[in-house]
Amino acid sequence: MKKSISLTINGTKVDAEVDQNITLLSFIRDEMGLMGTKEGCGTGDCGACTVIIDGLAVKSCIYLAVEADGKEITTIEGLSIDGELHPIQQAFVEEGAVQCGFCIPGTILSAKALLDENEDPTEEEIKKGIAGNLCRCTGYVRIIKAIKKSAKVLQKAK
Amino acid sequence: MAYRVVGRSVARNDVIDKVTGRAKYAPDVVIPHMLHGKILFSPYASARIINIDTSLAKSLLGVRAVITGKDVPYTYGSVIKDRPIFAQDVVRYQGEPIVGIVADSEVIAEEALNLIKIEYEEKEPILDPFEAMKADSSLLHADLGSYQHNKITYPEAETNICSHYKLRKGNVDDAFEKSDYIFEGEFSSQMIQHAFIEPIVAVADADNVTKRITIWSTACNPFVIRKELSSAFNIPMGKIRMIVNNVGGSFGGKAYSKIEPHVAALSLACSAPVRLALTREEVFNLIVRGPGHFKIKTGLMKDGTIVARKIETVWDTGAYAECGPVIARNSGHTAAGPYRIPNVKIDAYCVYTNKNIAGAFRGYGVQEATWAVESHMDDIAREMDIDPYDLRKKNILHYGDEGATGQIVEGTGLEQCLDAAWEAVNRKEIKRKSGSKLMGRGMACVHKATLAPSVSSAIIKLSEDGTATLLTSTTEQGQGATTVMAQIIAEELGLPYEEIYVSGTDTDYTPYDTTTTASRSTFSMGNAVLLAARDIKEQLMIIAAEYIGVDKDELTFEFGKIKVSSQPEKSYTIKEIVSKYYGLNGTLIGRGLYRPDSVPEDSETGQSTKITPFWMYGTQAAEVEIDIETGEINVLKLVAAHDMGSAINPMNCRQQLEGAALQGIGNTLYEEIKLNDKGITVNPNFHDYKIPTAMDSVEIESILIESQQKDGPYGAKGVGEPALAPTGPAIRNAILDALNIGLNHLPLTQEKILAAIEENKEKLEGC
Repeated sequence: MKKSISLTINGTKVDAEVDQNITLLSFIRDEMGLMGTKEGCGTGDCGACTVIIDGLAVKSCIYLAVEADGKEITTIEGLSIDGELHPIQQAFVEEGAVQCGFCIPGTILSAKALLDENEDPTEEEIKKGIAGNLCRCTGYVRIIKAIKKSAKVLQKAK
Repeated sequence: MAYRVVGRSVARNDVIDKVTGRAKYAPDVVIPHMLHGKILFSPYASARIINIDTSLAKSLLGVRAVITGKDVPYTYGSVIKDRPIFAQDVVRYQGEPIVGIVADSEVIAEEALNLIKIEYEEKEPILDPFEAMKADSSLLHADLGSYQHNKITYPEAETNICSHYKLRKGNVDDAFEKSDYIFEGEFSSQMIQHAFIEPIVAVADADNVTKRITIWSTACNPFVIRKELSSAFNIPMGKIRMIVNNVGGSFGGKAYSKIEPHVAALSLACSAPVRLALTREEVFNLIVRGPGHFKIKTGLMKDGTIVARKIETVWDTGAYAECGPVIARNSGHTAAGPYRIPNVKIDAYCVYTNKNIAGAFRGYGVQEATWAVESHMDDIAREMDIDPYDLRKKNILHYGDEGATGQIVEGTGLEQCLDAAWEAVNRKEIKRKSGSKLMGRGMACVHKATLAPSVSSAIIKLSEDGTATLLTSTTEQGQGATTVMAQIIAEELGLPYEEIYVSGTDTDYTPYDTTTTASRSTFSMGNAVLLAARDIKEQLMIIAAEYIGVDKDELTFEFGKIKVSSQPEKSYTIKEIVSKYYGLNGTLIGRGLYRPDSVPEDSETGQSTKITPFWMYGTQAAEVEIDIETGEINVLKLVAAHDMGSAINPMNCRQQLEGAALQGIGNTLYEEIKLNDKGITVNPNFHDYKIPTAMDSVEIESILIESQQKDGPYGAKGVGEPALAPTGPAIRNAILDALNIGLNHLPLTQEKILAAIEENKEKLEGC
């Protein structure tokens, strides 16, 4: 059964007919072609599929596309504007926070949702903010540093 | 000598694509009109297949092909050719592929799976490797004696022992007789999983008339897989094209064929592109690090000199050999520890059981053997009342010493690592006790060989604008290889690092490389890239001599500029020379081929004057705190000092050490794949198999030792794998220091620590 949904993805309004049983992850990747959102487990445990829905970091593999009707979605493709990296992306580059990179889009979006809500998080709050994003390469050390750094940059920019 | 690009922590050349989500991985490959595959895996660990009825599945609308072992009666495996693509009447482990389906969508394929009826005769699985080794055990592979295998595998026909590796040096029996002290210990390591975040996915586009097969996959050794496919399907190698872009983590788990033979069979069956994506549960069931068992006996003199060591190891490799025999063998290179021991005897048995298949995991054989031998070292030190650091310092391999395999030590990095790590963890006094918490410190060393023999080749294309593209088959799995290769070219040719482009792997176009494993890329591919850059330089000099009109001997090359000795005021850029030579368009091609020296081992003694082109060294030290009321353990600090040879990109090196440390903490303290008594995995997902999260990250001090590897590119060698091995025993030895309790069986869970505290109350009273 198909259902009409209307949502905003990375600032662009999208109207679509979707099967009621497909996940938002499947809609984003297979219908919208936004491949930066990754599938790591399909069970909501690893966080590689994290996107931001109305300001909250959400695992899109356990979220139905029809639930996103009327909502505003940000994926990793929506972060850099006019060829400029977002300060969080920039900090990940500078701090060496990236290795295989598969978890990185989801982690950056969790970090963005955290910093949008809490502009000066403690180290413990940062760790909690990305606790749902598994990374097997980095040990998280540089990811945490990068989020701290980007918080400072974002605060200054205000 | 000061370098301009080498030795600098330039930003990785894949990082922008990875933070913007533009980086392409195998799961992102989309071919127009591609179909979707699914595999029906065995629900039993041991069974005979009586009948397979696929008729209902075949008649489902949208199903394009259904295949079983009868349709593809081929076997594969490059260590031992023992593995069917789909089961041939016999099921040897849970997760054995039985039926493959192709359908218009994944949903239809899944529906079709449910329509397949299979009649099994369930059998009692053999789950204990020691039972499997007994003479009267039933055999998993009755034909083991007739299987093809490589030269470093030693199968024992009519048994379940698929390889028995031997190392013999000196005479251990005599040496034990003469020893003042003899210590023995038993240790084990558990079944764990790699837990790379990108699942295993492959897309194949094959034609069943021409037999041309193209595969996009998550593989980390595409040329090995091409060879396996060529042999299994009897198709010439040139018709098989493997394409690998970014790999989302491997840690060895994506080495050797995984689902490539299956996706190829599915695509050939319907002559259409097919995507096969495993679920996380299927990935957990497909490949693991197998359990290991170790018995060690050491003889020492009163002054602490080790004179003999005897080791017996049993490797539970599961239903098929995969690379198990090489794991057993490689463990033998390391198992005696990085010490000067004149008498060593090692027997490593690789044994089939009806369990999950054990494959490569970041320094295979070495992390497990290091766990055992380095734990044993601290037990000896404690018994003899010697400081564990002093015991190591006394026996450690120095320059010019002969190691257990018969190779003379060429580097000096090990002792530097030992000193640096121990100094760092001892910088300030620790409080031994605080309330119910006890604190301790421990250390562990590692030495590790790389793969031999092996070959790496590289091609550099220098364009008329002076920018360069490297064609290489080293796969980028997160380790930063593409960055290091670009730095080497930039340094050698004096080009801007940002203007060096590095290809992904495409076996149609990129030249041969044995594998991206064994921490071999920086050294082996790095050398091939260096040779290719020098080839370019040589050609530039010839062209420049012609263009300038001077003799070639008058020219010198200085960081991207060509100078003429008779005209010191003038210099020519690469761009100028190349564009003048070719006119408007053209490309210079540089070629590099590197085959490091090695000498094959003696099959009876394991001895070789050069078993490996280089050895890797490291020492880690841990500081832990244990609550004796709850058994809870906190790793307060971890120091990792490793010998890089030289750090071409220090940031990349630190990334390896930091990432390995937390992986090691998970592997040591809580990770374990659990099987029930029927041999079925009970925790094949991230909910029940916990890996460290950001909440578990700890303070890690990474120390880069640079001993200069004499034949490494700019002095560099490998670092990725040995970084994982010492973490476990360093933590274990810190627990021993804190509690006076030695824990010998991984993982060291809170439950296990608490139970040991309860059992050893009297030992704790003195703490």
